[in-house]
Amino acid sequence: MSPSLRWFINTIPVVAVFLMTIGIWQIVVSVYEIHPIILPSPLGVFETLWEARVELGKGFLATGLAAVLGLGTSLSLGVLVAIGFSQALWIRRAFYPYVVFLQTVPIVAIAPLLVIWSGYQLRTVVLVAAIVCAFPIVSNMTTGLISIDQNLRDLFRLYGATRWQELLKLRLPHALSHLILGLRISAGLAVIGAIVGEFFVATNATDFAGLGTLMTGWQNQAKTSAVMAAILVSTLLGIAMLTSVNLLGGVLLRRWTRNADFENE
Amino acid sequence: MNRRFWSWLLIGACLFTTTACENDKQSAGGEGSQEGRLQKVTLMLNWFPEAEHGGFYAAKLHGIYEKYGLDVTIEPGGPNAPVAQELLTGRVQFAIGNADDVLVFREQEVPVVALMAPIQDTPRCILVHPDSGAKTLSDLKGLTLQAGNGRPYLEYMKAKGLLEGVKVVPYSGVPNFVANRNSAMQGYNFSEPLLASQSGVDAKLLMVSEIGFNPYSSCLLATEDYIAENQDLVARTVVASREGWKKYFESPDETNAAILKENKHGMTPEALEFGVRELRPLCITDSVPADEVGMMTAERWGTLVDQFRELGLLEESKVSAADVFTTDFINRTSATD
Repeated sequence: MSPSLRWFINTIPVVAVFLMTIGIWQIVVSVYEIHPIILPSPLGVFETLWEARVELGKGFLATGLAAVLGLGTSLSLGVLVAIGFSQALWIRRAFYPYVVFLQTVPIVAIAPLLVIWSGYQLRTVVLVAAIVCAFPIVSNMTTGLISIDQNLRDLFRLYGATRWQELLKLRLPHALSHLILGLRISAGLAVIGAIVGEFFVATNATDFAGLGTLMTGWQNQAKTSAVMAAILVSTLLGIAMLTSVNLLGGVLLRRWTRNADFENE
Repeated sequence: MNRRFWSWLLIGACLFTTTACENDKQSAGGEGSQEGRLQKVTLMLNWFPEAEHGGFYAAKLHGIYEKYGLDVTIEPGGPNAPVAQELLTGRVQFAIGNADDVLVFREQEVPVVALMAPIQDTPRCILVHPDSGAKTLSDLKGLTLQAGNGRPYLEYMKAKGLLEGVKVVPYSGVPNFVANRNSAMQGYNFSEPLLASQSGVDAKLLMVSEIGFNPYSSCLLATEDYIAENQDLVARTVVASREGWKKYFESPDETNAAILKENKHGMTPEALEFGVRELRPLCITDSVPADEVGMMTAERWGTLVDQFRELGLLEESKVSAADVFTTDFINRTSATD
């Protein structure tokens, strides 16, 4: 099958589901004469999307920046922490529960505290995003680093590899696919974290308002269709982040491992 | 598989239709009750129960609603209380909202009408830290202001150039305000100042009404349709609510105790006592004596509508001041008595 035909066949169901959902939504709104402040029609939402395209575009960039920075922070710190964890069982036993804490902490309750400690600025938003996406990265990376085939480890020992060489040439390459799996989960979470952060930090001091800021403002003005347009854009941002991670993952895996079949998993 | 899919779809459709019908029934049921029995209505608040809702609670507590044949359930609100949505769906028949909310709803083509306005002058104020040096609303430059993003009064201040160099951040409460001397926060003059002083900061109050933005507050609202179909019931609700407000200012203690019981969000007896004391002069003014509590004028509404249009918050064609309020029921008071 040619790639373009395969792409076509893969795309049809996605588009069909989209059109069907939009269709049902539009029919329900028209038939039951639902007021747009309760549930706007899809056409109404698209109309608002177009009218507010400049603000939403800037919001996409602002929130995207915070999400990327948050994900990046989490990635760099998370990898270091995971490497630490992979060194000894007692380290994992002592510290892993605190990583689980990051997963279970209700971020909306922590965010106001972070504002008090870190102030009304981008850094605080990045921090919220980083906390939200930390767990999948640390957890997956740690698993990847420690779940090494015993035969391969024996081979490394046999050749007298140092701990450092074992980490660099065996554990890290092996952990890469796990890390990317974690990043895929965290990519979407980073966007959620950034938006939650903006709910609490949002300020006119930066050049433009993020999606979270736009949402609260529009909510205060009872603009339901605008809020929904912003939600739509934030899902697009999540998809963009996820796609970037997938592309990056594909490239890295093809280069550093033999597992080039990643995308078909 | 196929058959199961269709049966689920059918079940879904049935559920949807029944809920929709039930809503219709509820909204139609307002006027339909028999003579001698109390008519049930629900009044939704725009915020947690506070002094600003005192008159409505007084009317319920002291049996005034009952005297007028009404059984009123007061439903507390909170942040982002969906007042307009609840009125539209008919889940509630009446709601409380400020005059600026009314115009915000109108811009979204929600036909709500203000029936009475207990609070004549808006309690909206900006609290500034005593060490900030700010004396008027023109001195906010360099401060961090906690305020509700997108609120009309904020848009008004922005248009007046009062927010230049001001860092506007989301409302997060008194602790952040107290902690930082270069800070300011939005508030109601009968609420936040007490909390700040209890935390050891005697905040300076800068009233937003002084710069010419003065929407009526705690207005009683209903939809155009509901008012048209339930004239008598609406009239009785307005009359009883106004009596409730008079009663609240005469003897607020019992009502405050009732509000305290309803408010699960850190309300204290002191805050309510302070609240009603500060609220009174905003409700009973030189032009509106106690007997006329709740009164509204076309001039005031006209000013607000003009301001909204200038700010670009209300489209020219959408509504005129005369559509958004009515004094018919206030004026009917003596006739009903």
